[in-house]
Amino acid sequence: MTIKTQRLAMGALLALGLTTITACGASDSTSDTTVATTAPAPVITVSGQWARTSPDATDMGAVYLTVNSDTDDTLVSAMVDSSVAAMAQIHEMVPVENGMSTASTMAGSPSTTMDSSAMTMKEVDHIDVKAGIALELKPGGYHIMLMKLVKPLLTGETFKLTLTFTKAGAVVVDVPVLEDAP
Amino acid sequence: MVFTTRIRTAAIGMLFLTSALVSCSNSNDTLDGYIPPSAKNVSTATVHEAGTTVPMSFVPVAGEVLIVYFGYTHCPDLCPTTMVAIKNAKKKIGDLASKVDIAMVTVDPARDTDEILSRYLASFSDRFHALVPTSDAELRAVEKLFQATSSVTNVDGEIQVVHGGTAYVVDSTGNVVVEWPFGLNSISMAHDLTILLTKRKKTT
Repeated sequence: MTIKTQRLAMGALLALGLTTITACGASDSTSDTTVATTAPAPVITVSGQWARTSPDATDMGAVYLTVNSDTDDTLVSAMVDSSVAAMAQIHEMVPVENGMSTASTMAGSPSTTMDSSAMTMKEVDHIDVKAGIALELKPGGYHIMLMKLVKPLLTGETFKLTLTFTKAGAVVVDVPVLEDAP
Repeated sequence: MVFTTRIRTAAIGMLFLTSALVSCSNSNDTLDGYIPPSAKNVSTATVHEAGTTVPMSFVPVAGEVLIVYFGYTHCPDLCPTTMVAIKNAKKKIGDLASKVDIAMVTVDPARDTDEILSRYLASFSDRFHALVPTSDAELRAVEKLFQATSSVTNVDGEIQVVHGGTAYVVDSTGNVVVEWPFGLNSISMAHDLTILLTKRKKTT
């Protein structure tokens, strides 16, 4: 009983710490979670998914999320229903120097997000997911780009996104549309 | 028992980490953004502004600041991330927000018409300047003053745009007083705006 209480107290301390960090601008990942459990296939967890409210006069959108896996796997495609957008692609922001891309496009490499240098967007055909290491798709790094939105993404709406992994197969998540990161 | 000890160690570590991170939104007079190492005056720049025949000059009235961003509307990631952060920063500073003006120069004027850029910016602010260069020379001239770069290339029908992610804050002397690199959050932006609009008021 004592030990249990103590653990709860420690848990609360940890939670407090995390909350404070979040206030400094880091994104939190406590949103909806979908787990694919086709034993003995790898367990993939997708969390914190959200799409940015699309500004007026544009038909482009972006989805962000975090992937965790208990096994090395590879994200190979993203898809949304044709009632949402004509196409979904995996994109990465990469720094550019003198108009020429110099970034490593090595799958799984994190992109810098605190860099004032010029950047551009590149489609990537896959991203490696390392066992036990969170893969974050976040502003300034990787994102799922939605092209030719059929209608604007409005705050509060939700749509389905299908992510396909080499080993875990298809994982479907509900993506809420938010103005800013949760 | 070992498990409990580990948790305790982790909790203590987390508390230290928290203390360290809290300082990221400091309450002192130091700007969170980047201060250009040498004076960068942009008062000679002019760019066509949607909705008016008078070109925009980058000099806000005394006591106000102008945030300038180089972007384009077919930009799903960097541009809306920064525009939302600016919008949220303005929300955090109350009445001071009325002294914050916003201008976006499109680096993709072939696709961003006056109307498109104006509608785009209206999604983020009720006070903005939609700037659409009428020639490549006009765009390059203003970029040169801000030391910004951009390019638009069409590779087999796929348009690739390169642009900087920085937002520039200009004071009423036409000087860039602070630059916000991509990823700076709204807390830091609000912190900088408060300093620039209150504590440094006499210098602007």
